[in-house]
Amino acid sequence: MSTNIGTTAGDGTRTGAASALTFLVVRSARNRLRVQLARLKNVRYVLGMIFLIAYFAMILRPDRMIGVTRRGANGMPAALLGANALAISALVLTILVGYWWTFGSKLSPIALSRAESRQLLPSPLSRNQLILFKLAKASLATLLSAVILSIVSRRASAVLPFPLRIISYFVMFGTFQLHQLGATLTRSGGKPVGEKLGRRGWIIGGVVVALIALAIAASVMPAWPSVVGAPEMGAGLDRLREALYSMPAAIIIAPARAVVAPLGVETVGEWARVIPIAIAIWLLHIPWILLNRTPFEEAAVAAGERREALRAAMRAQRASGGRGIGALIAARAALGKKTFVARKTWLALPPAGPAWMAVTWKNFVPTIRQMRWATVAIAAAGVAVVGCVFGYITYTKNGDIAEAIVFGRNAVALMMLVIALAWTLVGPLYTRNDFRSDLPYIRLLRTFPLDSGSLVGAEIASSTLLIFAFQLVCLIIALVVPTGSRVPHFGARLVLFFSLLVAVATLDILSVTVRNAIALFFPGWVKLGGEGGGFEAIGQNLLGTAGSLLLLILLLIVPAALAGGALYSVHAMPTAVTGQIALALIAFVAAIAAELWFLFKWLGTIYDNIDASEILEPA
Amino acid sequence: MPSDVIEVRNLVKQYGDFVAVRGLSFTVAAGEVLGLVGPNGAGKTSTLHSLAGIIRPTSGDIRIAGHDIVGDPVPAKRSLAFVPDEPQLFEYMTVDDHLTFIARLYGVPDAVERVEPLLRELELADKRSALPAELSRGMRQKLAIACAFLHQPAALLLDEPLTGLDPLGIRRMKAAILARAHAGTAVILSSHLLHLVEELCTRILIIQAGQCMVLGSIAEIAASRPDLEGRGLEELFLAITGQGLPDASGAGIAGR
Repeated sequence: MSTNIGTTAGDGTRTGAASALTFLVVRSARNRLRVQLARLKNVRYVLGMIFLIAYFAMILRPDRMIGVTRRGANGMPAALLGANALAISALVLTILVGYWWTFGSKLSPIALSRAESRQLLPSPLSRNQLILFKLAKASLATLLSAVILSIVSRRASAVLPFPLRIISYFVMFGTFQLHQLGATLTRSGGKPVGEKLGRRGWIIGGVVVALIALAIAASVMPAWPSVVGAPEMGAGLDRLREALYSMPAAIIIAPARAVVAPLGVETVGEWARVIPIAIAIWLLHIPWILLNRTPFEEAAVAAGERREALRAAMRAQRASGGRGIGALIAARAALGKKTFVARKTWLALPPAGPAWMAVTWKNFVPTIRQMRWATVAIAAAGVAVVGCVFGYITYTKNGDIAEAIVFGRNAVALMMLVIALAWTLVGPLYTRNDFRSDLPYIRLLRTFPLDSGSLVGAEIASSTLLIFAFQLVCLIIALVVPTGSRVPHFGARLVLFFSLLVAVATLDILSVTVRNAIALFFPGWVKLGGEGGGFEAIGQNLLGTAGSLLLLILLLIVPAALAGGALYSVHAMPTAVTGQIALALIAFVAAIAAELWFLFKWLGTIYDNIDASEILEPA
Repeated sequence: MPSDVIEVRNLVKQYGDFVAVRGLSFTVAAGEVLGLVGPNGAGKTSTLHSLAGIIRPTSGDIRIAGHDIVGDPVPAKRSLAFVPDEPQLFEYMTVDDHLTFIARLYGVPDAVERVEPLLRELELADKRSALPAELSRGMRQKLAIACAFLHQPAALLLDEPLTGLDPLGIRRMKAAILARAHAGTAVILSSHLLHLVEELCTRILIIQAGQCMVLGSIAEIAASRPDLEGRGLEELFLAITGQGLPDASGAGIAGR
């Protein structure tokens, strides 16, 4: 096997940093692929590969592509993003840019792994070489995302050929990934990333946000009455787009608009005109990042030093009588840090009871410890503000304060209902308090005195309950807040509320089960650990969500058929409709329960047979 | 409870074509401390992981407190505790949280009474609200050991238990292990620190290439090898595993 890093030039090896880093990236990727393909010796992985190929074959079928391609009003293939969608996307991304300039981000594209910080930081690499190496690595993941999204969105629009769609997605995600990075480095004002932000950082963030807010407000506010007063939603959105494309908002959202524009074209010729601008914006980010002198590379080392400083401060606190969490908070405060973790766990684990509940409680702890009541309060205030805005809009239209309150309350209820339902899709992706976080601890889990079926149930219950708890709060608000004659009366809402509870609980537990089943079946292929990924993982997450939905539908077939059968068999009987629905619901829930019982047992067997060496140990 | 708390019969563990453990058989009685030693790659970790139920043996029988670890894993695991060489702790759980969790998992009714003296014994009493990231390597090791001691297991499996501990910590840990053995716990201790094994263990099991090379007390092993009479465990180990032989003067080890 060849292990040459660079070509020789007479005097031995060429030790160019670029070739060494390229070697590291290529060899790591190759070995990773080799290890993952080696999993195909296992029947589980062979089945997974067959499923994956079948899945891709299904979404790539040319006849299906032609059959459902969207067409515009003129009969030509429609653009991937319509004119209004393009404008709103540009607006949302501009607001996101404001957020990054104000609060920064995690720097995930250039975060150093433990091996990188140990081996590359002391090596003779320049700062720029290190950044370019990390960006190149992150770009590979972004490229994969772009390919996946191009495949998935193939049926949405036939305007752009496959390679052009890949380029469009890649440039868009790459630009926003780099901007996120550049903004975080710039706002830190030369201080090491992760340190307490100086005044300069807040001034920069404040100026950027103020510019965005003022420009958008100056353009949108005058046009707002025509937006809300439009006879239909489409016309309202047209007015909003026109307002956004007028001065001064047009200038502020122009960069985001230019980057998204390649996805909104109607012809290849139009794409050829807009893509150079998008690529230019993308490329301009690279010198911006490289010229920034913020010592990001010290962040990894500094993190270790800060930890040592924290330990020393805690020892000092305890020596002077400080105890427990109080000592930690005081120690962190002495280092100029606020404490967001390690607060008291308000959810106590009773000393007696089923052993599996201990695992579920353990999985709640990270969420409880990281949950900030301030964030909950801000979210609640945000909901209230939305209600007030809608109420105000109504008041400006008809001057009726009572009507404005009714409209505001109903808008809040509708928003909470939509959030609760949307969380059924999004929640299982981001709530990973289950095997997806715990499998790296498999050697420890295996020593627990629990039968594997109970352990599977406990892990799945953890994420399901967390997702459901959030939805419950949203649905309770959606139940009690609505008012007025245009919404169903409370009794009807109560029936709807309980029906939705059953529906979302069922979908939650099945979705989480499917995602855990994928992790248990293919622990060597799926990403394990606490975090889901950023821009670079959008495509992979979408693919995972689509695959999970497919499996979810398969799991719902039998319960739905049983419920339908139960309903059909009693529909002619002289029973009240509510009784018939209740019977169908019982059949549905019983079928789901039976499915889950078998699934947990089966997944327990899969868990028992996992080779622990398939999974990396926690860092 | 049977006097032999840990019973291993013809244990075989195979990874593909590679045989890590070849027909290992031994028992550990209540109150006994068995030292499991061998060169790197000898099969110690595979043996311990098989005993702890982490990996499934290819063949053979393992019984913990009379329960088959494969056929009847829950009661078997309830009777044992395993401390790995690298402590695995949950990052958002404090010291107290870990013990609360273990108490519930293993069904310890009097956990509240047990925790305080245990934390004092392991010098963790003032760390109850600390997260693993705020603990030193040694403290994390002590927490892993505290979790193992909490439910007073009938069988205790220790893989390099003293790694990261300071001299006082090592001294206290040795006393703590012996205290458990005196209380009737069957202990298996795997370590490369042969002086520690010599000091704590009543019997030694030396394995190499997955096979038992010798099993018995140091006196019994020495008696079976007259050429090694009067030598310490380190010299016995090197001689038995073929990694070195005593030189003529007995002053040192002659390398291969």
